[in-house]
Amino acid sequence: MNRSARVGALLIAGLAIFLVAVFILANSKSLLSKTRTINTEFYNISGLLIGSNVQYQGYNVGRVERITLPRRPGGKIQVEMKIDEGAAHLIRVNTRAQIQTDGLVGNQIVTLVANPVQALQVPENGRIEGVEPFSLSAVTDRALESADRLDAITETVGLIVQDVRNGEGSLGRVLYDPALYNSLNRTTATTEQLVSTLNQQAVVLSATAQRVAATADAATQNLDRTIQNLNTTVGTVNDKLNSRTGTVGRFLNDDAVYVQLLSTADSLRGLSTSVRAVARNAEELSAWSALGAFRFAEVMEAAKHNFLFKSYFERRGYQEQAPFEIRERAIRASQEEIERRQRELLDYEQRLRARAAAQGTTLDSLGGN
Amino acid sequence: MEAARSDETLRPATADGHAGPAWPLGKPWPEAQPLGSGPPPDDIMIEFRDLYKSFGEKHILRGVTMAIPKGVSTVIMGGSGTGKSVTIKHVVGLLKADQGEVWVHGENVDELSKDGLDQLRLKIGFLFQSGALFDSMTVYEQMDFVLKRHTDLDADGRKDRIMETLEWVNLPKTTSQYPSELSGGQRKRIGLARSIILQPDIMVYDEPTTGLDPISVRVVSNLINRLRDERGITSMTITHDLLCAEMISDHVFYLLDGVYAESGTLAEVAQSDKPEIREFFGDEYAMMFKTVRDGA
Amino acid sequence: MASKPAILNLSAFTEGLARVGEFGSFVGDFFKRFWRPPFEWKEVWRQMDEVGVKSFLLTAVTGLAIGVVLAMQSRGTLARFGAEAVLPKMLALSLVKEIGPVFTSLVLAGRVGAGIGAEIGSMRVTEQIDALEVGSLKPYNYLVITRVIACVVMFPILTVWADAIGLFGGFMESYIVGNVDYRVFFASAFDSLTFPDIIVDTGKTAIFGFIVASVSSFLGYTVRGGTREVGQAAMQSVVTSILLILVADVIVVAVSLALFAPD
Ligand SMILES: Nc1ncnc2c1ncn2[C@@H]1O[C@H](COP(=O)(O)OP(=O)(O)OP(=O)(O)O)[C@@H](O)[C@H]1O
Ligand SMILES: [Mg+2]
Repeated sequence: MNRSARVGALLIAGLAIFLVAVFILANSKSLLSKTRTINTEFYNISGLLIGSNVQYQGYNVGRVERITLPRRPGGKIQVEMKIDEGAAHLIRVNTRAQIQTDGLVGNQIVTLVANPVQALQVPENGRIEGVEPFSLSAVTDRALESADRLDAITETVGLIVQDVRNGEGSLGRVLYDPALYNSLNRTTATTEQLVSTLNQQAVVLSATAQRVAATADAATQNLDRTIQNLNTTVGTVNDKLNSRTGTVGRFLNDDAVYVQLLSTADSLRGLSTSVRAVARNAEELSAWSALGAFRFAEVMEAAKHNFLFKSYFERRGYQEQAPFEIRERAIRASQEEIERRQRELLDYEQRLRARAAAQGTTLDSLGGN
Repeated sequence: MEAARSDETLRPATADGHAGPAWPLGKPWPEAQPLGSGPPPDDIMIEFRDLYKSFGEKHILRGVTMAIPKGVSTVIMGGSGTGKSVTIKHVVGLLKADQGEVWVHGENVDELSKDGLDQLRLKIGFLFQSGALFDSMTVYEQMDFVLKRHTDLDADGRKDRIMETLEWVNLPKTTSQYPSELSGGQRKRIGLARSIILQPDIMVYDEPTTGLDPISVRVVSNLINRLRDERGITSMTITHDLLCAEMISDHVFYLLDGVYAESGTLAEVAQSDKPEIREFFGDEYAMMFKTVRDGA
Repeated sequence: MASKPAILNLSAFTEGLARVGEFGSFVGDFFKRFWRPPFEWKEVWRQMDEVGVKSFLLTAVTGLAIGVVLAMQSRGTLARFGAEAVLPKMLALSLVKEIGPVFTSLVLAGRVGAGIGAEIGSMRVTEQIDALEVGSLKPYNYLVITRVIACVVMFPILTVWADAIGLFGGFMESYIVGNVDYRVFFASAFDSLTFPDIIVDTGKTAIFGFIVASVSSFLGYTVRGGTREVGQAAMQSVVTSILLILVADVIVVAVSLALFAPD
C-alpha cells in the first residue's frame, strides 16, 4: 500500500469510528429523537440529578431535564422529564413516578410505575403524581408503635376475658358497667384501625424481612389471621351485647365465643412478640446495610483517589464529599435498595387486602347469626 | 552533445548574456567603503565593512573589512576554527553581525526584510562544509524540491535541468540514492550540484574539496572555474587545499586573529611576513613561489 | 566562594526563562506562518504517515492491552459488590475519558517526540536547516508546521483507534470470562458516555499532539553542538512533552468540568 492510501485509510477509518460513536451516543441520548415533556414533583428527590435516567418498568425511556426548587419552604421540588416519543403512549395520568436507586453506585433514577387501570395519556407538558421515597426508619418506628398499641389492646382484651371468666359477679359489670363496655367498644375501634395500618405495615415489613428472616412472613400471616379473629370475636361480643338478642346465660354458655376470646388474647400476645421480632430484624438489616455501606464507602474512597476512576466519580458527584457524607449516602442507597424490593411486593399486598375483604364478608354473616 | 546543450540552458547569469569581466589583473584590489557610506560601487559584489561577531565570550570576528568584485574567484584561508565559516555565513544572512555592515548585490544583508533576504538568497549558491544534503530525500528529490519551489519549470523541464546539473558534477547515476548511500566526496559534489541548480550569480563554497581524492579535487576545481568563466559567477571559497587554491584563486584573503590580515594573490599571501601564515603554508611552499617569481 | 552557587543558579534561572520565551516565540511563529505559503501538503502527508500509520501498531497494542487489563483488574473489585454489570460503563468511561487519550498521547510522545527531536536536531547540526534557510525553502514551514499539523490531526485519530480497540479488548475479556453479549456490553458502555466525554476528551489529544510536535521541534530546532546534544534534545523532547501533556490534561479537565459541569 502506498503512503497516500495508508494515511487515507487510517484517517477515514478513524473518523468513521468517531462518527459511529457520536451517532450511537446521539441516538441513545435521544438528542435526535422526538421527546415529550412530563412533569412530576416530590418533597424529597434523594439526590436525583439532571440527566438521570427515567425508566418505565425498568426500561430506559428518557432523562431528567430540569429540577426546580419550590418557591417556599415545604413546597415540592418540580422535576421535568423528557420521555421518548416512542414510549410516551405508555405514560398515563394514573402512572406514578418514584425515585429509586439504580444499582451499586447509587445514582438515582426516576421509575414510572404503570397502573393497569385504563386512563388517558399524559399530554405534552402534562403532570403525573410523584410517590415519595420510603424511609426504612420511619417504617420500623411505626411498626414498633403498632406493637405497643397491640400490647395495650391485648391487655384490655385479657382483662375483659378475665372478668368474664371470674364468673357471675363480674358478669354484671360486663353487662352494666359502662366503662368496661366503652373500653371494649374502644378496643374494637382501635383494633379495626390497627388492622388496616398493620396490614400495610405488615406488607412492608414482611418484604423487608423476607430478605433476612422467614419469621417475618409467618408473623405477617399470623398477624393477619389474629386480627381477623380478634375482629370476629369482639365483633360477635359487641353485636350480641348491642342487639341484646342473646341472653347473658347464652353468652356465658356459648363455648365458642368464650374459647375464641381466650385464643384471641393469646395470639395477640404472640403477635406483639412477632411484630417486635420483625422490627428487630428490620433494624438488624439496616445495621447490616450500614456496615456494608461503610465498607463500600471505604473502597469508594480508595477508588476515587485512583486517577483511573477519578473522572467517573467526579461525574457521580463523589469527589467533593466528605467520607461521612459518602457513607451516609451509601447507607441511604442500601436502604433504598431494600425499599425497592418492598415495593415489588405491591402485588402481594393487594392479595392480602383482597383476602381481608373476603373475610370481612364472612365476618358480617357471622355477626348476623 | 551534452556539453552544447548545457551551455544553452545554463546561460551566463549577467544580464547581457556574457560572462562579467573579472577584475583585470594588475588593477589594484578595491578597498571597502567606510561604514555608513551606502551601497558599494556596482562592480563590487560583496563587501564587509568592519564586521564584528562574537559567540558569548568568544570574539571570532574583530573588524573584518574586504571587498569582492564581480566575476572574481576569491579564496579564504586561515587556521581551523578562526571564523572562516562564520564570515561567509554573514553573506547569506545565516548569522547577523554584532557590528559592521555586509553588502551583497548592493544590499545591506542585515537590514533586509525576510522576503528581501529570501530574494537575495536565491541569487546565492551556498555549498556547506558538510554538504548538508536533506537526509529524507533522494538526490533527485532534493534537486527537484528546490526547482519546484523556485522555478516555473514543468516536470520534464525540471528533469532536464537536474540531469544536466548532475552531469556537471559527474554523478548522473545517483538520482535515486539517499544521502546516506553516498560517499563523502559524492555528497560534496551533490551538494555542489544542488547549490548551483538555480543558476546563482554568487557562489559561496565552504571547503568544496576537503576529503576528495586528487582527481576529484581537480574535477571540482575545474567546475568552479567553469562557473566563473562561463557564467561570470562571483565566488568566495574557503579551502585549506593548496592544489584547489592554486587552481581557482584570483585573490586570497588570510584570516588571522579575527581580521583578514593578508590579502593578495596566493603567491603574495604565501610569502607573508607573518610567522603564523608562513607556518600555514610551510617555508618550502613560499620558497616555490619565490623561485617562480625570481625565475620570471 | 559562598555567593558563587547563587549566581550560578540565578543565571540558570534566567537562561531557563529565556528558553521559555524562545519557545513562546517559536510557537507564536507557528500561528504567524501557518496561514502563509508555502503549504507543504506533501510533507504533511508524509509526516502523517510517519506519526500516524507507523505508530498505529504501537497505539493499537497499547489500547488493546489497557482494555483487557483494565477489565481484568476491575472485575475483581466490582465483583466484591456484585457490580460486575457496571464493568462496561466503567471501562468505557475510564478508557474514553482518561486512559485512552492520555496513554496514547504519552506513548506517542515517546515515539514521535523522540523522532522529531532527533530528526530536526540532527538536521540542525548537519546544517540541513541552514541549507533550507539559504535555499529560501522556509525550513520552519517545511519541518515544523508539517509536523505540528500531522500530530494535531493524528493524535486524536490514533486515540479514537486506541479507545475503540481498548473497548474491544475489554469486551473480549468480558466475553471470555462472563460470556457477555456484545449488544449488552456496548449498550451499557455507551450508556455511560456523554458528548463532552467523547468530543472534549478525544479532542484534547489534538492539544497534546500540538505540545509534542512543537516542543520536540523546538528542542531539535535549537540544538547547538553535535550528536551528543541531538541525543539530549531527543530525550528532553520526550520528557518535556510528557510533563506538559500531564499539565495540559489537568488544565483541560478542569476547564471542561467548568464548562460541561456534570449536571
Ligand atoms: N553558532 C555558533 N555558536 C557558537 N559558536 C560558534 C557558532 N558558529 C561558530 N562558532 C565558533 O566560532 C569559531 C569559528 O568557527 P568557524 O566554523 O567559522 O571555524 P572555521 O574557521 O570555519 O574552521 P574550520 O576550518 O575548522 O571549518 C569556532 O570556535 C566555533 O566554535
Ligand atoms: Mg568552517
